[in-house]
Amino acid sequence: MDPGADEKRRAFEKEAVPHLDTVYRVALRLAGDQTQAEDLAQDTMLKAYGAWHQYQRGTNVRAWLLTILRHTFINQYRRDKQRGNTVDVTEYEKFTVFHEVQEVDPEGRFFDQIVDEEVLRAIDSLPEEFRECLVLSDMADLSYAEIAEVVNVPVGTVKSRLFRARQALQRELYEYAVEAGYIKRSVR
Amino acid sequence: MNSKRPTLDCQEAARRFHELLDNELTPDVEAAVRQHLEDCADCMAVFEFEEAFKRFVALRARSTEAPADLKQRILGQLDISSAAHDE
Ligand SMILES: [Zn+2]
Repeated sequence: MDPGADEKRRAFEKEAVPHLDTVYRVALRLAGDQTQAEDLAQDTMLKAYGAWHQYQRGTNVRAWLLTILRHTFINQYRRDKQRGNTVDVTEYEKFTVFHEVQEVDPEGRFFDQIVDEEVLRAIDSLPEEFRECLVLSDMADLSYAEIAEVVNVPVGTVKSRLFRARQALQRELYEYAVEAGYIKRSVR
Repeated sequence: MNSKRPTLDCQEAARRFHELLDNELTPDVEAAVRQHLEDCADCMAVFEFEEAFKRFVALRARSTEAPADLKQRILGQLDISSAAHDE
């Protein structure tokens, strides 16, 4: 048995494998279905294992794994570039929902009534470049600089995409909550 | 005497709420935004709403776990790729 291989395996299991849940969650939001997401997550982890010598110790291993995931997704999995994209993010960018709910529910308690599936559906309705920034921040806890490296855009772009993504998501979920009767639309 | 902290107006403060929530501000800008929040109840209300929303999204977005057999499959594949390396 090669002792180097043994040590590599131990290090990988200790440092990379614990992030599998995050890798899978992000894969699911990019790929959109469970079977594809499992394959994508598995491909990602095996590629990462093969390239483990390239991982720089002390840097964020989640960011490194998600960079591999994104490459793999774009090169091997993405067929329909228009998945998502049902929400016009530019339309909502300036408005926080707060101003509409401040009289009835300023703390946004109505959000708590919305089930997980509905939140994920709303995330999936965002255009891909906005969705991936949101997911990398709010699911994977990457910093703006790390997201910028993963998606290969300037930090300022990450900032503005993330801001718009959150506003659009907030608006989507508010509209849903109004329709579901969780909150009354304010008459202004 | 001017205060050591630069003062921000409501618009400038609001533009930085997300960065504050994400811990992305430099210490001096963060101090200025927090000072504004202390002084301005209107902005504080908006900020608390955004904070609650971010917490809500993060919680819901992390509810899914990887299927148990996926981890086993991956670990099994590592054995195979280790063995291949040994040869
Ligand atoms: Zn203010």
